[in-house]
Amino acid sequence: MHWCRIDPVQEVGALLATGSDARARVAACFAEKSALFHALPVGHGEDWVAIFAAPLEGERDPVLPRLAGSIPLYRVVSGWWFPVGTRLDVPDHARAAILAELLDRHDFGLPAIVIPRMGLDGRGREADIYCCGNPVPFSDSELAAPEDRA
Amino acid sequence: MQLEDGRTQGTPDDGIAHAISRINAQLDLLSARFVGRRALLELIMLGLIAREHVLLVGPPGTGKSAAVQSIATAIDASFFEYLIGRFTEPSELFGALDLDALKDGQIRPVTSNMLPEAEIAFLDEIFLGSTAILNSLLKILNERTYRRGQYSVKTPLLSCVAASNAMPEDPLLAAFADRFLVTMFVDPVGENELPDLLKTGWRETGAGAVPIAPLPKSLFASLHAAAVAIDMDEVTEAYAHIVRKVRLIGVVLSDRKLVKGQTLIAAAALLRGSRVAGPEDLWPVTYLVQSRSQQEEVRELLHVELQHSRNPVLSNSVADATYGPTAHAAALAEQAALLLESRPALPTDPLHERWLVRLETMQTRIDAAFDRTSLPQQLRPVHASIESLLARHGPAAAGAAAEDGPREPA
Repeated sequence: MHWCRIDPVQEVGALLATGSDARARVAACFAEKSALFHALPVGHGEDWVAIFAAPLEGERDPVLPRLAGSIPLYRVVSGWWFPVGTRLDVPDHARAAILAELLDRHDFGLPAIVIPRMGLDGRGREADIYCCGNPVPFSDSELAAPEDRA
Repeated sequence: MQLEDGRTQGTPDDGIAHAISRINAQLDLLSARFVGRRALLELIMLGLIAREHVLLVGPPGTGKSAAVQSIATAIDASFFEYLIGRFTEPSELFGALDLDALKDGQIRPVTSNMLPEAEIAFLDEIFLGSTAILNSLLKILNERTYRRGQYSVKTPLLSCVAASNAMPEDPLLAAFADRFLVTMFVDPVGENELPDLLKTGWRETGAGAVPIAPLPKSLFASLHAAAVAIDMDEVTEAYAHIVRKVRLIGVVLSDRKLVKGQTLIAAAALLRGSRVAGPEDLWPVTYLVQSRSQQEEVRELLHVELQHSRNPVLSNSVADATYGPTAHAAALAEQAALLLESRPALPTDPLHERWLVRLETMQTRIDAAFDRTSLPQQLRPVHASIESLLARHGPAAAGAAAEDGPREPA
């Protein structure tokens, strides 16, 4: 199984920040932004945070803040997120089945973010998977300042 | 693999390669006269080589007629053009009856310099034609035959280019429109191209257009013969897969159109410089679709299948047909421009904050697709406007976030 690079024309639906300072960076970013962004669902681990796009109340189009140094993601199939500009190098009709098999084999839950480790040739056989559990609004998450939590 | 005569296997012979380079050079000369219309010129050229008909749909004043006239005069072929109206008589297109013949009891039109003798035809406002006109046209388009009563004559038509402001809603007219294999929706040139449009228009007004030496029609005959000899085996299954996928989203493509679509794929392969059609040549399938919204859907739907599309001669048609970075940049630029126009009048308006949030989302989308240092031309002004608005009205984070773009995956 390979991942490969493609034109980055997919619709951004989430952002992933990684690194030991990821939580602090996301918290600082949200603190400076409109409170309207605080309703966006986030999932996080020790050294990563995922922010998922969602529409504002009463609107249809999802919104997403800018976050320096983050990886933009797109939804491949329900629950699966890949970096914009990458894809699993298999035929379309086989993709969902292969991802389901991956889920079974490695025993993790969705939503899951797959970050391929790309070689210089724009292809990769290995990937890091971030399991997001149940994303909650930023304002309800541990990332929000205690006084801002809903 | 090198052949004995020095050619690489799968590439056309020198004569055809020379013809392709002449087509390319002619397209360069013509497109220098029509800002933002290279793709339109390319598709007409593709239609002439494939001997298929092209339908241009778009508002008046977008240069459709001028582009077709220009391409027709750049080819040594007989040209007929007509602006059809509701009261246009068939004789205005096909020729009046020959009165001398009529005295002898024969029905024979005088077709000299009329549509039945044209090798290239341009029919503006095609769908305003009467039933009698459209029925005669149908036979010319399908069978290259003009018939009036007992009178019947083979027509030398290479390609008919038709234009209309909109696609017809009448099912009978839609069936007629289906005879045009290639459909292109033509919009006014983009905001960024306006200065070039004005400069080029002014130059042509002052000095007049420099004549372009016409290409011989024998060149098109050679290219057509080479196109129909293209090996299609490698793409048949991929083409069928694309058709199945397109049909799944409700796009209606008639069997006739699908079969004829292969001639476009073959001609595209030839102009790419190959005697074997490959995945690079499947992009014309987008132009088989006769609805603007469905063409856009198909571009997105097939972005994986058509990602290898390329053609050095028909580069702009490929860019328009596939949802690659060019089309994505155009889509983002259009959406960003609309968003900027929807600015609430007062910053105190409660909708103002929502608008700023949507602006920031737009920047996130642009940053995800394009490096800030190499933004496509059409995105630069909207990107700069949004950046400036966010810095002025938005939270401080807007500037900080802009310091570096999104991080590349490892």
